[in-house]
Amino acid sequence: MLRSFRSEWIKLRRRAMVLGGAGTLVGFAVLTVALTLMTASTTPADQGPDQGLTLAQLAAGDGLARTIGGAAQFIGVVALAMFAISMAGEYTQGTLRNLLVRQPRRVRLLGGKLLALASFTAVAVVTAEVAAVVTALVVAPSQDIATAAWFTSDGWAALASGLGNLLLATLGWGLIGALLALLLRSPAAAVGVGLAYALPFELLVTSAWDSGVRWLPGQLLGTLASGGAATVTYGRAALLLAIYAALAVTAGMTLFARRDVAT
Amino acid sequence: MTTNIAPAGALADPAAGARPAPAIRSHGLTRRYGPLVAVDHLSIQVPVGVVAGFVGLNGAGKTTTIRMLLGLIAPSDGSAEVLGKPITKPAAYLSRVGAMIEGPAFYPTLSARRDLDVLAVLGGHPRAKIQQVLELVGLADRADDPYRAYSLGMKQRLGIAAALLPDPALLVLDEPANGLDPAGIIEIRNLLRRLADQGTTVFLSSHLLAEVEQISDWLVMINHGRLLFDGPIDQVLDRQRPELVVAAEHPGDLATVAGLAAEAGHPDTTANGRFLRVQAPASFAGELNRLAMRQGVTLVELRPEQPNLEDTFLHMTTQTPTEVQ
Repeated sequence: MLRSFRSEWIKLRRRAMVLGGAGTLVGFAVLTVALTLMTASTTPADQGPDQGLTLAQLAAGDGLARTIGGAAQFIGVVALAMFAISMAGEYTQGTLRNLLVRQPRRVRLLGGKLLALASFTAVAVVTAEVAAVVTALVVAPSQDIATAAWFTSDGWAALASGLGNLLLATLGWGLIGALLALLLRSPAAAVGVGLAYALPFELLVTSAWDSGVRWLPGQLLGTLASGGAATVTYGRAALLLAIYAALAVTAGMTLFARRDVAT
Repeated sequence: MTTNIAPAGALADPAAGARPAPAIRSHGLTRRYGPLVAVDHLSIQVPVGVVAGFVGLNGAGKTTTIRMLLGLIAPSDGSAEVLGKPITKPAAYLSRVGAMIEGPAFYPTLSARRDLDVLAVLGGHPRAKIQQVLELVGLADRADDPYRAYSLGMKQRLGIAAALLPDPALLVLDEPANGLDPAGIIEIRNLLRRLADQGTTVFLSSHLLAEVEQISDWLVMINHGRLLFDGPIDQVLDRQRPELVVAAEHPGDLATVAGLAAEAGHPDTTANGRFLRVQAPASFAGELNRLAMRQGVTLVELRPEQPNLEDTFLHMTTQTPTEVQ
């Protein structure tokens, strides 16, 4: 699995992955933070649970963490696309057959590949967090937002847990992308279906079925990223997502190990 | 028909005592796609150390067979061993197999060197080998160019380089000459011959029959997924009888020549325009010339024509399976 991991990292260092994948992810984080701070007002706006934060909320100890957390879904969608393109691309480019000749133990190959993608995503999320903090420090003074509370012990703790939650949620989206890639074996189809699921599909389902927020993976990943919500506790979201992840990994590994490689 | 040879250096097969194990052996290997039978009870034996040509019409089942041998797709029925190990356990033998299947496939934005690095790291091969195989296929000077900038011939060479990374005991190449210029084809032919001389078994799928004929000492021929021939290439060529092609100064004399050939024990003749084709070995040419001169017939052309793989292939693939057997 280590050889597969190292081999995958050679591919991940491609400019397309660094700029197109990780760069986009960092860009979304920076843009979200800048816009959140620049559009903040003294009264709350109806823009979703963690957007439209008031100036007072932003100046609180967890203000910075909540601001960055607002980018979770955008970052998640980018991760979904990165995983899907990287996995499904092996089928469409025909490179999977080369990989399987050199590493016929398919579970090891897939395991190493997923771990490499996860570590790459982790580096990108941490970079995005750092870039978002720097952006916040640059933009906050121009909006008269006090930043002193961000760097208290409570502020640092909120930032650290926010980063952990954001990372877990992002990897969850990535896993959805990987599973779709293994099922559909086409980057365009995997990204298309993934985006359709993440954006309109779950929104439509939850608007018709209130309990959807307690069960649907996308909703639970949002809850995880924001550290819990009124409707779903953090613990429930984490437990359900862990079960979904185990099922997804098992299904993906089984499919990958057993299916013919005819491309 | 199946013929086996047991060359020196063949792998010892513990299950068979001292009997050498072929590099590839299949028993009734079959692959179905719904009602379509892509490979139909294929039983072959390719000895160690030969260059084996694997020929068949488009859609004959060559690539499907290769994919099964490499563990990429599962057979519907039958079994096979590669380097003495069953294809159900590809990890047991693929570390000693190099392969290029259905043309080269690499990451377009990576350089050739990086593309090989991906495979070398994955396969646990020393990275020093990368430069060595790049030089071997003549790509060392362009190794840092992105793969997408390569010509078809260069991509093909990179595919062969990748197949050589593990120092293979068995090299499986699917249409390696595609896109290569004549000089490139000769280079690759010499390379494969050299590898075979060093003990590597080469299993070469190609539609360039003249190329296969030149390089191969073993032949596996299939049609519609079924085996037509598996054995030394000379045996299949011997199935086609040699001919003498004759032209007379006066075309009307060809009937006389046909009669002379028949009297001498070679009655199978075919008139074709100003030529007469006489089924006879090259050694009969001198006698036929003398007989014709005695009858006052002047021959302006008299040349032996040896059977080639292309004719033999066409002959065999247009016969029914019963006729071939």
